[in-house]
Amino acid sequence: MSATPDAEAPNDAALVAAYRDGDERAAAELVRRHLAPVGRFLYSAGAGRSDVEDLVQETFFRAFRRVDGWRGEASFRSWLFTIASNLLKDDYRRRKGRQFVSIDDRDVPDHADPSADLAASEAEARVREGLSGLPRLQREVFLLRAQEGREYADIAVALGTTSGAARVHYHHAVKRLKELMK
Amino acid sequence: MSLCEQVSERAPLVAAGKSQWTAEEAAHLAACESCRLEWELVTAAGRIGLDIPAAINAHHVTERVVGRLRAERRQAHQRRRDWALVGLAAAAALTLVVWTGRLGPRRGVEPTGSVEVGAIKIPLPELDSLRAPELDEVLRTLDAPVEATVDTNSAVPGFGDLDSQDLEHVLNSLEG
Repeated sequence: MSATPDAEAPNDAALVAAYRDGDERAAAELVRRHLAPVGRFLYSAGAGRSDVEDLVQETFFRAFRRVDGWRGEASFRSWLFTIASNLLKDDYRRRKGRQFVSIDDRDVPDHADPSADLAASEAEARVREGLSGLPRLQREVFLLRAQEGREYADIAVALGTTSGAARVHYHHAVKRLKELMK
Repeated sequence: MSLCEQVSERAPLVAAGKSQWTAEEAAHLAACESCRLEWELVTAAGRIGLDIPAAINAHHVTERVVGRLRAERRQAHQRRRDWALVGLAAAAALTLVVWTGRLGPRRGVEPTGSVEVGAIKIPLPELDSLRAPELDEVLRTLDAPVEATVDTNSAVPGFGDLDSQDLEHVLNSLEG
């Protein structure tokens, strides 16, 4: 899914303004637009496959409930990642530090080339396992950079850190994950 | 910045489709094992959860989010209305208290204007023997302004005609 909507489609700021004016269809469009990356982020950061839908729903609900808190400094999607990250943090605390889910919890997709899929799936599983062992900020900075190709400045706003710190977190994460990939 | 650092910085952008490798970077990637490993790491991370969006029922999520928001708005509206009603009730109660407080001293007054003499405690024992019309007359005289009780044309002397000693006697007799 592209982060930028069609030229004719209203941008996120316009949809947020419409929602503030009571247009529920604007909220529905924002959910449709950002649901996939938010879901992927939550899952990649450690949420269980069966929990993702509920967490996505909670992320959007919290976002719209506090929509006045979004002032457009960061993109709406970055703001959603902020909320999703806080949600994961709360959930992690509620579980008293236990990881959400073991890597074995995920289903292996059923594709045409079983051997290639298996190799890719193993690599993903190892990365995901490695991610689960990283400090939260390293994990989330890495995911926003590796999956979304986001700039450090944008990541910094989303995760409440600085651009320089985000860069350091990313490279620390890469170093540790590369050890696992060898 | 070394070529390794350059590849490391640009790998996520290339993996996300926001950029492409230059020929120099592609050649370096083919030759440098560490950079190749990092590229594999980034692309593997990019594949994690690709099937997740398909597993989420977007329509269901949208309906539930919008439904919860609608319910919350309704509750907030209800709360505001409840508080407004509480405020109105409090204002009405306060008005009633103030209004009845103003009416309080008049409660003993009969609508006809007649005086219930038996109910009145009179601190002057001399007046106890008077009947109602007489007592009424005396009280009316005492309540009236001094000028009104003094008939200047009358031969009956008023309080103003008394010297201090006589006045003291009169007052003593009134007090019993």
